[in-house]
Formats: sequence, structure tokens, C-alpha cells
Amino acid sequence: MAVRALRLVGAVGIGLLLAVGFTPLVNVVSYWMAPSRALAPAQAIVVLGRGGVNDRGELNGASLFGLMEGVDLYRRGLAPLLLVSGSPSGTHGTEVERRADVSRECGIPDQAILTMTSARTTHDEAQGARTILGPRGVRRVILVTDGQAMGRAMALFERAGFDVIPSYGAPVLQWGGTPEARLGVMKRVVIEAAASLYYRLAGYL
Amino acid sequence: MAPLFLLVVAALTSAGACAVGVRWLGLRRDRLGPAVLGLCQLAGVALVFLALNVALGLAIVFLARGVLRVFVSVYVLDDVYLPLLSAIQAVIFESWRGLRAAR
Repeated sequence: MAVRALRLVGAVGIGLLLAVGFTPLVNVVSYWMAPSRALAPAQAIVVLGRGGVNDRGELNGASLFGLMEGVDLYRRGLAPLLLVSGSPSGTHGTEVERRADVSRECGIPDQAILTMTSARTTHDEAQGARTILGPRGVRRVILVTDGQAMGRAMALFERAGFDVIPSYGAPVLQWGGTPEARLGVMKRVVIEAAASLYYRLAGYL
Repeated sequence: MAPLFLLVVAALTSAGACAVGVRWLGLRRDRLGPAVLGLCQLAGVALVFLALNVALGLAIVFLARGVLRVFVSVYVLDDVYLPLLSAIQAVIFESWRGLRAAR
């Protein structure tokens, strides 16, 4: 009986692995998870933490990618403020410090850059954004994070009193991708599903 | 195109392995089905180990946060080596079980 159950679990696992890598299943799931709202001008752009810095104090790829998305939105004139968040840990500078540096290097004026230095989770980031942006009268923000994480992040920011627009506006269903890339997307989908469940159990959502 | 190419390559080497197995190693075609079932069983054990590893890892992370007041990110578990280690655990465990059955 136990052997049969193990075989069934294994067969389902192998089947899912093949379906994820070699069919557009994960593309559809990812598209379905991403909230949609027309991209429009807002009062601030909030770039959520993503990945941190390496041992040399350089932003990793995901963190830099998110920041560049925020910088691009700022340059397009979609909001006058850029609030950057990130992991507060790092021996040669933190993600937030490096993101602020890179934003300045990209030509964003000092007074337009705001930093959130102590947030460790998305829940912390929503609360931190309220503390920083609330007194400035900011209510409508453009949120920059992964498509898979956007649903949970948007819900948290809306609970914190913001009117939220996802940075990508309306998601686009993309059919392509290598099996490895699709597997990466599937991993983020699973992590996000687990995080959403935890946030609901913890009463954050 | 790239996914299809990978599948074609794997199908060709599988066909080659079948031919070599039957022709030179004396393997029986009718034992291929049970071999696939064995793979499913191994994958099942690996998934059980993965679930246990994730569950224990999460418990330690939340224990550290709740009791020790030390922030540990759950993303420490987000590493490709966790499924690989789980697969190694499964292979060793199944080999161990196989040795007992053969004795």
C-alpha cells in the first residue's frame, strides 16, 4: 500500500515536472496569478526588496532588474517619488543603500529618492511604506515586484491604505520559455502560494 | 523549439539505451515496465524527503524568529541543492531497503 502510494506520488511528480518544462502550463498559471490594472500616473513608485547584495556589496540580478524597472517608470514621469526597499543585511553595504546609489547614478535627484531600511518581509514593507509615504499624502503608488508576488503584495499595500497599480499594468500571456526558465517560474509560483497561505494564517491578508 | 529539441535528444538516447540493453546486456523488454515503476517509487520517496526537509526547515526558521528573536529568511530554503539532497537521500534510502530485501 505504501509502495503504491509512493509510486503514485512519484508518477504525479514526474508528470508535473514534464508538464511544467515542456508545456505552457506554468505560463498560464503565472498569467492567471498576476493582477491586472491599467498603468497610470501615481504619487510614488515603490520598489520592493528582491534578493539583496552579494559579498562585494553589489546588487544581484533580480534586485537590479527590479530597481531598473522603477527607475524607468520614474523617467517616464509616472511618479515624482521613488521609494526603494531591500534587505537590511550586508557586510559591504545593504541592498537599500546600493539601490539608492544606483538610482542617483541613473540621474534621479536626491530629493526624489526615499529609502526603507528596516523591512525584512513584504508585510514589513507595506507597513514601512505607510509610515514613510503616509505623512507625504501619498495614496496612489505603482508597485514593482515579481508578477507572481504582485497579488499578495498588492493586497498588503491596499490593506495599508494605498491605491496600488502593478508596475507592468496588464499582464501579457507569454507562451515561450526554456524548460529551465519555466521551472524557475513554477518554483516562484509554489513559493508564492505557500507565502500567501502563511500570510492568511498569520492574519496579514 | 528548444524544449522539443531536448525531448528528441532524450528520446534518441533512450532508444539507444534500450537497443544496447536488449542486444548486448541481455535485458528483457518485459522488465522495462517494472523499471519505470521503480523510478516512480524513487521519485515518490524523493518528494517525501523534500517535503520533510522543507517542513523541518520552515519549523527551524519560525522557531528562530519566534523563540530566539533572530530573523531568518525563509528564502534560505530556496536553493536548488535542497531537491538534489532530497534525491540523494531517496537513492540511499531505497538502496538500503533494496539490500534488506535481497538478504
